[in-house]
Amino acid sequence: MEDLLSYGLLTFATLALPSLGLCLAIKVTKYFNLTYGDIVTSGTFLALLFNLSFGINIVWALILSMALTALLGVILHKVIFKPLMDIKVGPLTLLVVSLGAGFVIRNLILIGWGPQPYQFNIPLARAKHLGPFFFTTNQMFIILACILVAVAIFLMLRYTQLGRLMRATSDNPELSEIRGISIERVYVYTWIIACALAAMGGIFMGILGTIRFEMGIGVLVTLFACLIVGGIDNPYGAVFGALIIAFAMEATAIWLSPPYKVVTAYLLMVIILLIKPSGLLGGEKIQWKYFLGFLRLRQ
Amino acid sequence: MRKVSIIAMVALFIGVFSFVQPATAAEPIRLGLLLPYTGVWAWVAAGADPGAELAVQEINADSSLWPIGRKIKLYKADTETKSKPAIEGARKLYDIDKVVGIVGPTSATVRSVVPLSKEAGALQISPTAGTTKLDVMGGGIDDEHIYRTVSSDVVMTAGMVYYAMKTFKPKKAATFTADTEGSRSIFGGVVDACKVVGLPLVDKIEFALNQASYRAELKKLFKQKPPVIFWEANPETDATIFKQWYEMGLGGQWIGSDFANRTSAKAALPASEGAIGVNPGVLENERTKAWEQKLNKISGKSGVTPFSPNTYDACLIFALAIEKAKSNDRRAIINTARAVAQPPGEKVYTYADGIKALRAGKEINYEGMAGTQDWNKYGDPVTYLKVEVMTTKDPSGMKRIGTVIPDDITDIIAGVLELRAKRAKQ
Repeated sequence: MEDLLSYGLLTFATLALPSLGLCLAIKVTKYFNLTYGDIVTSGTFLALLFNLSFGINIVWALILSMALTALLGVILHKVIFKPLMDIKVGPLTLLVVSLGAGFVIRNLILIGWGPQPYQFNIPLARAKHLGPFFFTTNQMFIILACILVAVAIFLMLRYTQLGRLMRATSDNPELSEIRGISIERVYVYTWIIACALAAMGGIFMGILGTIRFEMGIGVLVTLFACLIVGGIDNPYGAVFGALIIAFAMEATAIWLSPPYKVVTAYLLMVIILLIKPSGLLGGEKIQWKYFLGFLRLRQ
Repeated sequence: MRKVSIIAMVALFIGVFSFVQPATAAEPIRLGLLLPYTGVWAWVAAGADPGAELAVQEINADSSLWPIGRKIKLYKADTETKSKPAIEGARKLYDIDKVVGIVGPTSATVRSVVPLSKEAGALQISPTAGTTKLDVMGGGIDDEHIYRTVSSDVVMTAGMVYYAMKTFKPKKAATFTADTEGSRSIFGGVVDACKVVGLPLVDKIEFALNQASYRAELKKLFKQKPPVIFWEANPETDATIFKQWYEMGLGGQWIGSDFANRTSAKAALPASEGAIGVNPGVLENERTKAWEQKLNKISGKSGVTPFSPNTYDACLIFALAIEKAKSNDRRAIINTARAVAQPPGEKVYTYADGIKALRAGKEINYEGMAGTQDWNKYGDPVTYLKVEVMTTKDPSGMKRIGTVIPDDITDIIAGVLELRAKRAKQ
């Protein structure tokens, strides 16, 4: 049980913030942006540049990287996606364009850094028992930071002006525009927050594991699994989905067989899509008819 | 005006023809080099390519020693570590570049290319493919002329187990390998070698590559506290595995194969300090030290890059076979390759000595940089293995600590092959 708690929380810490950022981006801008995985990678490599090449402490490297990744997100939105949204292309077109943009970013990173893996310049440490948990000091800080940032985002969404504007825009963009809300400004702020969260999540992944040019695209499907399980249009659901997926994957590795842990994430995604497509914390009720229909077929 | 026109025309005529080279009677012999220059095994090509460049440089250095009076020219193609580009690359080499034969590719794609070499009637020598799937094919059987200048994984895994038993004398061990064909080849070899030497394997964990966490897998692996772990992954995964293994304070001695190399060390250090790799290498002596210095000038790196001696040997065998055949016809090369690589014959250790002996009418037995290159009936040699340890004390990340010679592991290899033969009959 100690293993499940510790490993589950560590995996959660790498998935929660990028899932939240992706959820906000999709909820507000209303299309699936497949560049997001490569934005996670960009943020990580920016931090790596500051940490390895300039010798900057990892905390400052994280802050600088979050700021620059947010700027990258704004540039991508202004240069690529906004012009397309202005001419009212469909979400499928935006999806395909985002795939291409991600491909370009990934290959630029590959050209610049090569295919080999990297590590942050952080001293190695042994894990210690802390009650039911088994962490290093860094890991503990990462989990706490993840929880605090997630809570801060929830409070921002609920109690701040920006949060209200983002919720209004996501609920009804046309009405929001009529009421004088600058949709474009909301999109920009959304991308700033989403990309900063992507960078933070990627850096946590890099600290806990390895940094590779493909790391973001590799985790993108798992992030979508978190959104689908928790609720694609619900920020609380995104974090809840990350928790479910993380613990399910680690439980599979501990109690069943390690190679199946990735399968678990996709299996959960399929089950949720069948019985409650809006996600566990999404609006719709559970579609028991699909479950019952499956049972009837077996009889 | 007319005089000026005539002079101008003559000048133009001379100018044009001064750029036209006289038709060269001796066009270079085209040799194909098919390696993963990109993809997950790009490090293999990065290591092997300098060996081929050095071989061709040596062959072409003295025009009086060119095989059948012609230079060798390398034509390269990239497999991208995938079957489809490997097949396309081989087709390009055979059909468009008209190469006389191919050196390459790796375990990931070699079996995809063998039918094309058979169709082209050409010799194929792989300097990197250790896959045990080649153990019972090639060498001319069924007209499949695939040979190797690198040992089968059976040899490498025998070396891994031999070294573990000799140095650490464990009472039990475990395996920790990826779920890929190359890793399964290593896994199978380790399991059989452990059976032969009587070393029980208390756990055999298989995992997917490039995951963010291996904590659960590592916890399972060390449940029964194996003192020795035979492992195979890739550099990216090694970095994660070793970092998390260190954090968890699990102990144990890691022993890997050719994937435990400098690329892996650079990714995984300092957490992987002390992990050992047993992989193809050269016997350390004056000859190999001199060769290494020449290689370093081409590779720009220190030390012997992975698979460079094997690739070097493959290219020289091609050149010597061409000279013996007195022809660059593909079928003629096939017919003479064994004759130059193995006994009987005068042992030769350099290309120059080999060519001179052949021209003096002698039979030769080329003794390669990577090993004797004496092929068994399936075209497989038993080469030397080097033992290296991952360490931050060496700039390359690896330090050589030993050598395993064929005589050390002959019994284990024989035992493994006997086991496999029994299994095949069942």
